[in-house]
Amino acid sequence: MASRGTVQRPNGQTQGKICQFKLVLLGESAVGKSSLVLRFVKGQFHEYQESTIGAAFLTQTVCLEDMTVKFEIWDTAGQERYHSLAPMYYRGAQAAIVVYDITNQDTFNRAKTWVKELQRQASPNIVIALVGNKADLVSKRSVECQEAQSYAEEHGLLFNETSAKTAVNVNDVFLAIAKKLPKNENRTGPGSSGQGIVVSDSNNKPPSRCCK
Amino acid sequence: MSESGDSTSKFDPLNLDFSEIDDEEYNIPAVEETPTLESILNNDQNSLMSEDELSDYLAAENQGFGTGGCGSDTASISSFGSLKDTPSKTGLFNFTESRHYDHILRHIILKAISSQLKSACERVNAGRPTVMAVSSMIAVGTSHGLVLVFDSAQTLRWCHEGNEEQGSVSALDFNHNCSRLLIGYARGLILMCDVADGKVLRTMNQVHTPATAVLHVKFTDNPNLAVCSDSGGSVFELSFKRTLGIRSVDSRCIFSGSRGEVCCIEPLRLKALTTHPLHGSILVAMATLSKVILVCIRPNTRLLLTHSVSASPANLPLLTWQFVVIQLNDSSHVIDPVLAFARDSTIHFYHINVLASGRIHCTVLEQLNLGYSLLACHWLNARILATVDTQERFHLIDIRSQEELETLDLSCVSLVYNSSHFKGLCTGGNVSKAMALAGERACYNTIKSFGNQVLFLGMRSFHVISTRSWLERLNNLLEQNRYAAALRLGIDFLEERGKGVLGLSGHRKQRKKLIWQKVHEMLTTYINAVLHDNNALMYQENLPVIIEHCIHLQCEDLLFQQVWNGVEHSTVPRNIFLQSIEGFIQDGKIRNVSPAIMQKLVEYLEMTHRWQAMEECIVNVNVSSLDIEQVLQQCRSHQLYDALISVWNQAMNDYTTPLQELLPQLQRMLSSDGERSEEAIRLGNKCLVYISCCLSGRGYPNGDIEESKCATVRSRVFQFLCSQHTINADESEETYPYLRLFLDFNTKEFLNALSMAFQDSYLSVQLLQRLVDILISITLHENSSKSRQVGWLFSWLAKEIMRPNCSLRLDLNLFEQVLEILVSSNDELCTPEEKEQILLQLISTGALKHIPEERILQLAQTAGYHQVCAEIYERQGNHEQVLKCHLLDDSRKPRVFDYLNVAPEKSKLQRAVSENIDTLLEVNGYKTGLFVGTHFVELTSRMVHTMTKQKQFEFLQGVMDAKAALSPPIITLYFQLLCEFEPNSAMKFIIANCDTLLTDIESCVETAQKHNLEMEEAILWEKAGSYKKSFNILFKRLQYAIRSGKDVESATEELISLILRGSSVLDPKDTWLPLLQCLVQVNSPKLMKRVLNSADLNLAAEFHLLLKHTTGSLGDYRSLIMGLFEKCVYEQEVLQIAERSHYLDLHNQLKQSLNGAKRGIPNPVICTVCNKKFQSQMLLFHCTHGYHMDCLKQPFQCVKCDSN
Repeated sequence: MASRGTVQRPNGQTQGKICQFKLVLLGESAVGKSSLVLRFVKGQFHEYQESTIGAAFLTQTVCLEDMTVKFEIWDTAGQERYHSLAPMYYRGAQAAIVVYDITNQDTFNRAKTWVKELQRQASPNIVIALVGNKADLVSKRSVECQEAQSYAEEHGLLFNETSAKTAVNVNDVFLAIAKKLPKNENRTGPGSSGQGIVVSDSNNKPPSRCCK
Repeated sequence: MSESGDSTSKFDPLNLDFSEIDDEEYNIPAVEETPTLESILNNDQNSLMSEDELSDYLAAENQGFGTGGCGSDTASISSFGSLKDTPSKTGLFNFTESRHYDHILRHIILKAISSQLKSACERVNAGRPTVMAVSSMIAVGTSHGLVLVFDSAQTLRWCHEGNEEQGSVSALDFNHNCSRLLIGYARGLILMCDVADGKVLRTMNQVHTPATAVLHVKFTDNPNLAVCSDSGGSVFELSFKRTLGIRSVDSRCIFSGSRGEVCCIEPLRLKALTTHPLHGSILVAMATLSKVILVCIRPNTRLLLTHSVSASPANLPLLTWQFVVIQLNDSSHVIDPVLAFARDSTIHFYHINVLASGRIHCTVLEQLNLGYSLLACHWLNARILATVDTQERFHLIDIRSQEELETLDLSCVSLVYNSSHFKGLCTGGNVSKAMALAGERACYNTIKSFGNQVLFLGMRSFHVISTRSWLERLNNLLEQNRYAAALRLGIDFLEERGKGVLGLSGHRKQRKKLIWQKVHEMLTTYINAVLHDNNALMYQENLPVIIEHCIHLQCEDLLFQQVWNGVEHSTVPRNIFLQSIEGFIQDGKIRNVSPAIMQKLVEYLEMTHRWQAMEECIVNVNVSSLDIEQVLQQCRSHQLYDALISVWNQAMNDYTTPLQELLPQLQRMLSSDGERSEEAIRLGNKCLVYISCCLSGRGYPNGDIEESKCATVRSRVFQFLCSQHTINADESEETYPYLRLFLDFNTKEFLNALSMAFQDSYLSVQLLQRLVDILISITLHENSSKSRQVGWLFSWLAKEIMRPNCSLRLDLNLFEQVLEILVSSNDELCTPEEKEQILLQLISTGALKHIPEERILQLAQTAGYHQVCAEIYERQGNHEQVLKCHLLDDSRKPRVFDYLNVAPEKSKLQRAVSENIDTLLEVNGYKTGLFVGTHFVELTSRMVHTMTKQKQFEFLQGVMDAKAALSPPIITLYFQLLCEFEPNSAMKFIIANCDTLLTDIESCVETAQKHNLEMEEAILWEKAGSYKKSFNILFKRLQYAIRSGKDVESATEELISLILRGSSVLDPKDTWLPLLQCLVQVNSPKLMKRVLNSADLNLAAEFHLLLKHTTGSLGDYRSLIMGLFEKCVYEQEVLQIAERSHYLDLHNQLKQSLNGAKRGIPNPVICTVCNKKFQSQMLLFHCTHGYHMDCLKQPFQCVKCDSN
């Protein structure tokens, strides 16, 4: 969304290198994918988030110790009729966040099928994070943290429970992904889309605030 | 060197790597040289008791013990390999559960030898067998001094009838080429015989401690040197000489029993290992009850190692040697001997190596702890150890994993123990107590190992436990028809996961080849067996296993020829086969399938209507496996788009035809009226994904396009998209039908797909420019322009242009046109909301920078795009207007508070908020209140008055929650509202805000009265200090409660606590009395008691009053009177107790002071005041201070103590 919209919260000091990664959000509708991204990118939360049409595109950068990682985020629509479009977004993605709603067991089951599909169809070294959103609604919990945790371990996924509303763990998820992504500098052919794109200099980036 | 073993504190890990050992390469004891027992046992079964007979034999043997039933169990007992049964469950041979039902151990009885021994015992009075020795011959000694020598065919070769005076035979040993036999006797004689004919070559008297039994006699590598140990615990070396044809012997004591008795000796025998650096040295390991000692006796005598090991005295030490390959760091290896020393339940390992200097060095390796006490311990090979525990159970242990591979019960052997020799019974029992105790379980000479077999001398029989080689184990399973298990085991061997692998030799490669051949052969047999059986259940069970193994072992040829040919012609097995292989194909485990099978599979899936599965199968195999004609037909008739595309791509290397075929279909689906069908969306989405894959070089539906083809594919698909007309276009067709179709189908997603292609910038700028120009021309420049498409297109273009390094050229004036389209209202296809979203995106990308904001604002206002207006106002910093815009926008009203909370400079919003307060309240009264309370609390009172009551309440609720300081009228107002709308919270509110509320107590009370909130009213009065009023209210409540019979208890409780709180103000007569009167009616002793307990009233007077002011009989007061009595009694009791303890106290005090007074006082020497001696009258105090009469003034008091 460019100029004003993108809050580049991580500091923009010229650092060694900038890596660019495609990240896709998947999950049942109304689990809070857009809210999660909005929280991460703009630090905002809307109680009445409109449902996404198709897929929305946003960018955000995070700073690691020695480098800056730029996420190009495709926030896909959760509705079933957009399902068959999802490969378009995840086929070329280096990272995926599969979101479910901790108050709804069905969304967790759906998340599992997403993980399965990703592991079959997406790039073999895609980094997948399983995220249980709406952690603020603990009283209505119906997916046990332990259950999801062990599922994630079994399938080699990152896992966290977040709340877009209270901002709990949201940045951690993206940071964990940034850390886990392979950052080889030599850019391989277009087909083997395991690695991100390294943008060598960061001079044209506007100065921005540090991540909170 | 002597103590080096002891001093080695570092215990090296026990890394005895056997994987590389190769008998030939290292020239390890060549078993083939002489006919060995193993070969006889394995090949020449005729001469032996077969395993089937074993149980019969045992059953007969055991009949004496009343287990006659054993005979009928024959079949199950003899399940060691030749029968197709599950393992035996009888107690005789109780295997522990071993993996795959595969038994490594085989228990055999040497029947001929056994019967020979039996008859010798019965007929020639040979006595019971006592000891034995094994080489390529077997020698057995008896208790009457006989030695029977059998050859490998179990034929008795000769018998030495010794002198009965020498007692029983106590030790036997063959030399390494089996030409000489040493015989030791219980009374001390040692004989050497020629094995060939039994001629006695040497008779050795007095070569060791006189009057002791020979316990061990052993040859060394040197044919002229043997060692022996006796029951006195001494060790002697015997050197044989032959001068001028006369054989003689010299003996030398190398260890005296006086320094600790040696129980066990074991010389290291290098045998044929002539190149080893130890060749020529003779090492003897000796074990006493407390130590293990290793000495070198040739070329010179040296002590190499002593190591103290403490263990229970009832267990004998055990020694056994083995050569193992030790892997060195630099990838070379050496073969070194390792000594295993076992005591009780622990096995210690010592590694002996020769240093470069020629010195022999011992290293203590780690130890192995077993859960049982050991009776015998023998190496079978460098990885496998055979042990017998004191319960006579045989264990097979894998050393590296310390895993127990198998166990076997030996109780049927009735093992011979040599305890009599250790106790020296023949020589008058002249042995130490320790030796006699430990010797209880001696069976050094009755359990011996030979190669990978262990032999046991039983009282009536001779047993062999041999280990099966890998091949035998596999064959064993095959014989039981456990093909799957055999295959699994074989694959374990192949992948070097197998345990206890015996009989494999050669290099790793050779070994692998050998196993592979066997496994392959087994697989073939398995397949044949299954095909031959030809039964559905069998197929169901075994086909998946066969297929799995075929794929695992990469024997697809077997699978596609032998198996397929077998099942092809009958339906049931064929379907089972297809079903099983389907899963493997879907999981991508097999990509090359024979086309015939694939053809049938497609047919089968068609028959069962499993289109999804069919598609996955087609996508997951190589195209060469497919009958393309058939597959394409299936795909077309069942809408398997993925498969269709994939086949075209792979088979024909054609990336545009699928589009050519699918897009018209999509066109047809879209042009039909009404809602878009699911199918249309699915197809459209697939097409989008497909072009996105093609443009970014990815294979569809998975994988990647070959790098060399990427560019071609990309440009072909691109050209296709930009083609002006379809191939068979009629006149009426519009230009660029495909682009139009995609734009129609889903503009945004299509553009996203392009966007990703742009991002990866694989497309040249010229091509992109062309595409953009076409897109603009077909959307904007034509009459039928659709605002949705135009809008999305331009918002997308704006984004692309803003991207760094973008070289697209675009006429900025076009955006003005777009703007007008977006604000025009005559479009039924695109909702105003969507257009607004597009406009917002355009603004945020900055594409409209060149158009003055005022103009956009004006257009947006007329079109009613409040969100757009809000965005623009926000940029301008005009927050009031932003707020208004939010409020005007019906769908986004609830978000106004999100905005308010994040908006900077809240103070600027004050006017706007107060102006729009009504609308805000309408959206959410509470949140409005919260906001106002937090930021402009001073406005509250002014705002409140214009609202309806309900809104006032919600609003004030928010304000209160903002925790702002509020004026009393507002609080009073809120209290009034609270009483009205949420009476339950009123009480809490009063308690929290009573100070403020009291300022206007009248109106508050009035409100409470109005809403019938008695409790609240009472509290208010009480807080105001008017207890009387409060009492009246509560009293009324109680009366009401009594009447209605509900909540009497709680009402009473409240009343009592009120009276207690107000006791200083209230007159008891006006309070307790009415209460009592009231409660008398209820007649509840419990309540009465409660009142009486807390009342601080004069009972007599009150009761009097009570009686006077009420009517009714005395009976009505029964409970009251009873309560009074009870209370009276209780109080009396309390009084008494208090009195008693008071007196007790007094008494104690008096006692103490009297005691104090009686105490003696030492006489002080000097006056405390003047420090002079007493001469005249003195004053003495209890504190032991004394004074001159003159030094103190009246009244006499101790100056020192007083001052303190």
